Amino acid sequence: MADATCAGCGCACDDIEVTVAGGRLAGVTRTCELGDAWFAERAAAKPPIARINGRFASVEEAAEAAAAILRQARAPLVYGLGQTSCEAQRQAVAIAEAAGAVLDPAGGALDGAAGLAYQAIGSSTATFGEIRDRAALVVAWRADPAVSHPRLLGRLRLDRAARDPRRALVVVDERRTATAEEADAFVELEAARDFEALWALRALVGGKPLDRDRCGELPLDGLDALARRLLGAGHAVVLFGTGLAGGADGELNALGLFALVRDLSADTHAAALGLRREGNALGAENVLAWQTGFPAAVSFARGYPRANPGEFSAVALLERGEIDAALVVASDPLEHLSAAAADRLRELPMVVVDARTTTTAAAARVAFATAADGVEIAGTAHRMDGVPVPLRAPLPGERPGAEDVLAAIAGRLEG
Amino acid sequence: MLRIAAGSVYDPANGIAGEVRDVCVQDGKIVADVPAHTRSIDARGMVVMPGGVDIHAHIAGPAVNAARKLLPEEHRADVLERTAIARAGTGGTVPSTFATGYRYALLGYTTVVEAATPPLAARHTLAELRDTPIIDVLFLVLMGNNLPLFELIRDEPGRVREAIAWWLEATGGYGVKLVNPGGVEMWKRNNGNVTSLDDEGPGVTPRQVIETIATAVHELGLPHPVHVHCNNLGVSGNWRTTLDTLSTLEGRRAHLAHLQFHAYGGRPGGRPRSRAAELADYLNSHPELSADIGQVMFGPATTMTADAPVSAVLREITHGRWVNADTEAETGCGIVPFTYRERNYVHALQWGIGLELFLLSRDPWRLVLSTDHPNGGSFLSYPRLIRLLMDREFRNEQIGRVNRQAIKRTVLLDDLDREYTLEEIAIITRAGPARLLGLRDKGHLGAGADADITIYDDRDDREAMFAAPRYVIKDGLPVVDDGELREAGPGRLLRVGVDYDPSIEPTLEALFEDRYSVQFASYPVREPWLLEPARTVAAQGPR
Repeated sequence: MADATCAGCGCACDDIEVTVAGGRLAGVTRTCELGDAWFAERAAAKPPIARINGRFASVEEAAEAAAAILRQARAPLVYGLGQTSCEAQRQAVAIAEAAGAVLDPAGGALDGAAGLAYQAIGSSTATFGEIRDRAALVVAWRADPAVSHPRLLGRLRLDRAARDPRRALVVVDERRTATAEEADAFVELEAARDFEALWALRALVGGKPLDRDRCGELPLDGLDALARRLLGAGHAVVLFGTGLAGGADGELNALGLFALVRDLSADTHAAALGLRREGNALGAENVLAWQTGFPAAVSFARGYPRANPGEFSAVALLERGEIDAALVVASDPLEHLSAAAADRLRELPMVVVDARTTTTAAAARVAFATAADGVEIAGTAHRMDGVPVPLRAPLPGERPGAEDVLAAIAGRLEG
Repeated sequence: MLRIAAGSVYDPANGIAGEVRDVCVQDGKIVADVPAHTRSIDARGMVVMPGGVDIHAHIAGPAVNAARKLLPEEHRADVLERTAIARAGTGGTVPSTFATGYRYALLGYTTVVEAATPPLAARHTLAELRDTPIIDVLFLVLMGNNLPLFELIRDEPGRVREAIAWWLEATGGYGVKLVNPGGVEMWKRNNGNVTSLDDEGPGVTPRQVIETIATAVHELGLPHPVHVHCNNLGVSGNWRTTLDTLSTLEGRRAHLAHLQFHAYGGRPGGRPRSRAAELADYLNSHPELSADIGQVMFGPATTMTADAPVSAVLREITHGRWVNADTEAETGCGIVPFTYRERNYVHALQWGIGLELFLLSRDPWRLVLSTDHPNGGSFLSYPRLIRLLMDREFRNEQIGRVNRQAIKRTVLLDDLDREYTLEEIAIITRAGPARLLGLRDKGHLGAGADADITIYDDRDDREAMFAAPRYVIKDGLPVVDDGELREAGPGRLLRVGVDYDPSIEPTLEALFEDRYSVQFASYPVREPWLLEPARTVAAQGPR
């Protein structure tokens, strides 16, 4: 039996126990279905540790080939990172800097972008324990944690069975989700109306006049009731995810939400928490921010960090055909990027470093199948609320992890 | 081996104030002498001091990083290019980690204290400190709004000592920090605060928290006394809270953080006045107390504090960007970008009060130069501050430029013509803080000290002098040579070594169950890549 942390989603549950028998994974406790799959994928038999053009190579040969691809590129991209440790992420930043590359974590594409809204007005947030113990009202705004983060409601004591009757859970979404089944109230709202609804809520909580005739498309009764709940709660938290912050209007919606939380903060203790799909999505942004000053879409092309979401975002660069090589770390972009971006990526010389066998790894020129962070390699992950948790290594690993492989590539670029 | 030849040496800890003599280095330490043929730096006409020690700054951890993410425009305007020896980075008031290390070193500082770390986030702070090159670092652990500790303070105060020792060992921390004890807890509940040391809202009073923890720190014999950010920061009339806090500490050593922000007269809700003279007096007559100033410097700053209710007040003043982050069971965080302006009454008064505290203090060993970086201004403003203290003419010129009403509220116009000497500057920027931190190998140039040395050109313009040291030596290696960065290796972590009775662990585990959302087993930092290399400074044990 050994302690483990599951990094299958942004909850980074650190109370997992793993049973090891004969050096192999025999069982896991307390995982949700995402966690089961996460452990199984990483404990499964792996292909050869390093391949060049599909043929077995040594780690050294493959690291040299990877470095050559990055060295020869004029506009390389480093992408992914949300499913590997902070220790490995640091090496990826070092590579991007040495290669004059753009580095963009996958979190922007997967979870939507609230970064510009944050830069514009800031935000208020809280860790899980604060939400669990103090939030009298929790609103899941176009987020379905019952499905996307199966243990979250339980950990926040918001599931129907455990929820204190003095607390309320409200869901705002397009249709009744699994989370809505756990909630006290449901407000039906189409995604295209998010920004308007948030702005109308600002008026309602701020006691400002609202021209109700012009808000005919909004569910005003539901929003009125929600505004009353928000004002009466004393402590309110809004959970949001890619439903709100993804898509073309994501930044505006996030701005609307952060502005609402700020308005509420005059009288109520209010916070918003972004739900992250990957176990260490926030870690990637944090490592990038402390090392460069910017959390995403960073270009090292001029020898110093520049950031501009939109200009240097991976999706935008790929769609515009401005990338000529890619290092993909612990991510499967061929499966989650837009078709246009994925098509471009498929044509490029790619280096993939991952513990899993993925579509992207299969298309790579140089592929490393590493030991898995959090299963065979210890490290650190930043839970989606910012709490740093240790990743343990309950299974013995014989092959190098992502950090070691990336360090080997970085070393060959430094010279 | 190295000889620094014939400089004017300022080593106040060893009674040396401007004597022309050699300083010799071997194997990273100061030694009495080295062979004649040793490489020599010609320091004739130059001023030689120990490396600077910054006793209170915010340079690493989740709060600092949240601020970095908030300020892209500052980073765009201030970039550091990658070189053969230096990583790329960005600056401004909250620099990236590599930039932080390089710039402190280029400024002649070799040891920096990260002043406010939530123990829950210790592994984040440690990772950032490991990415802060050259300088030696240590951090203070936030304990003043800690819910398990509150329960112990109320029910088993005798065991608080063991709990604090456990927390220091579990995090790799160096000392104990209290920030608005009790007030941040009230903020997180529903935007409340405390206004007096006897408020019972948090379940224990601020007075109980301060007394119990100060006693515990004293009994543990920690190298640095309890480091206190008093209640009511920034509030008109808060000087009474500060004095009340000091009398609560009576007899026990304590270090007051950024004293300037706690030195205001006037009525609550009214315009602030200066009570610097009263506080300087109190400090002068209580040798067990020390303080860093927290000087405000005009220009851009970023306020970042565990004292989240203060940030809410600032938000209502600036109507600008505001970050709030609640950390369960332990603390809060507020960030508000801010600009201090000469014409603004309050800002000018704050500036004036800081200078009053410096100029009225009689014991430079217990008063440390700081701007509470980046709250009062960037550490890059230290040279200008030094000039204000050393150059009366320059100071009076600056006084003439700021809000007149504010200056009239201070004693700066009353023939306060003191000029700090180089010896005093050496005390308030290196010898004093090293001693207050209990770092016996830092802040002086006696045999056995770490060879952390800064060599300045002796220039009349003291700002230009201190802004650009000629040489900076760290552990005997020249890291800055002729004003340029030459080496950029890692610094070390300084942590306290303190024993605790293991029976505290099951007690804490039970208290963690209700308060935290991580496993007790996940909490202590054990990762060797985060904790090492480190030097442990042993606590003195029960007093």
